[in-house]
Amino acid sequence: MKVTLIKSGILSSVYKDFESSMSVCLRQLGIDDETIQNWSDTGEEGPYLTDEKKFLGYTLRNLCIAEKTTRNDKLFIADPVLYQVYRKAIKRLQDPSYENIKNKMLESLEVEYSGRFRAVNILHLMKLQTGGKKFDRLIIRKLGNDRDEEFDPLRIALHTPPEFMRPMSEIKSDHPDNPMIVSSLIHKAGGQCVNWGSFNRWLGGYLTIQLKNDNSSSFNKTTKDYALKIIAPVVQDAHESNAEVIATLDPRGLEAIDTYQETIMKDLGIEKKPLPVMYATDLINISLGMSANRIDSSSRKTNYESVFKKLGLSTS
Amino acid sequence: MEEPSKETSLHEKLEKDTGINLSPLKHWWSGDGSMSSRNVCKNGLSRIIDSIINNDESILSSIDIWLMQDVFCATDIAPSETDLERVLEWLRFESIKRDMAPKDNPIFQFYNSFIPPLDTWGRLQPADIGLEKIKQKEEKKKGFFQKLLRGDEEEEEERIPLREIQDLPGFFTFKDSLGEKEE
Repeated sequence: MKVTLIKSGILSSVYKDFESSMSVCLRQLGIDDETIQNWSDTGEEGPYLTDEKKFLGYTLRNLCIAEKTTRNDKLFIADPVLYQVYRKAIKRLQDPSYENIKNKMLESLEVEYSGRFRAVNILHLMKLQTGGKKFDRLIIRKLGNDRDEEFDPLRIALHTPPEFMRPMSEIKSDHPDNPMIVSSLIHKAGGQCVNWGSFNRWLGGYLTIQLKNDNSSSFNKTTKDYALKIIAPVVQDAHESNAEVIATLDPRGLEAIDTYQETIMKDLGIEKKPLPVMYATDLINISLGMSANRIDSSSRKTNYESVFKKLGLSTS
Repeated sequence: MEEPSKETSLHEKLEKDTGINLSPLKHWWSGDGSMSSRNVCKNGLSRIIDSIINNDESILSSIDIWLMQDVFCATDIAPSETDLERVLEWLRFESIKRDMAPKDNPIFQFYNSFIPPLDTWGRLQPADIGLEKIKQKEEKKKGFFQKLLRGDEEEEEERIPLREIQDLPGFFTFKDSLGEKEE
């Protein structure tokens, strides 16, 4: 199967590790991703949040480019926020009440838009590619300690971004109140997904990011306040569940949990070691044979040594 | 002096803009405790629905994080014919249109400043999205790729597609199909 990959600026610059984790996972599952190299990153999140006309204009322009440069009908969007953006744009552009503005835009762009694409996320692709025994045959390594007499599974607090599942009637990927797709793969790979309350919690999306600019202090202060409120229950739930690692498919959420976990633990009086936060796709990639060397946790506050140690992986 | 037009209520405006009528949800969300596991969503969603139905415009200036989170989590709870995502988006854009979005929120300011005004954006001009009268088209039409991917600068007579575009699978097929059409 081949999918067209939307590679936004934020994925290829800020969340490079997420992009590479996703790409490796897709390849392992037998999916080719075709990247639109001339993709003009318009920062779709901005218009999406602030101006409906611009939101439609920018996304339509990009959808037109995608249609002209690929024959696929599946537009794969790895990032949860961008997935929402494009899913909604595609829906709007099919809506008869937007017909006039759409036609006006197309006329001035001098291009046709057939509305061929369906936005798909990683859950859709995993569901398609891992049914039956397909995935079982690919597993090379168990997610746990199999060096002792009794197998000790890695306890994972698995988080599935609600943006990939809600509203269920429309997205039809996984059940938002009982997501099974990633957890079943982890389970097949020998890992143990713990029961915890934050398995489908919204991690704040664009509201928790930190800007690197020098003059971003007021922005960063607000996003920190938001992050502390949003992430606190996630950290608490994860520690109460006795997990050894938190795994998610949300790059912004991962960064927020990693950044603020220690502060939140201190506030809540949790006297344990902070948990490493990984991409769920990295765990799947490990079970499918990827070397630990390819997972870089040097930029994380809590590195992945404890996980690698449990799995018996060497990073040297 | 022109008489101010009769103001429409939030609910009427929502219905006019989106065709969504929230009335059926009024009693459904009156808080009978039948969905205790969903109480986390109750405050935000109830507040939005009540405010729109009761024309409480303060909701437009108080779209805070909790409200958004709650409503987002609640999108699967409402009857399937009610598109709550659309209601929330409408509320956000309406808040911006009426200049009632929270002004002291640096996140909001950031995202507003994130996009340069369309007239200086370079590639997509105001006319492109119907904001200004579409300029008289040049006699010589510019090609799709030039206009979209290279901006509006003067092109050479013989236009060669960008290298990256040429490398993309399907490009030449696309080009060929254009050629056939022209013939």
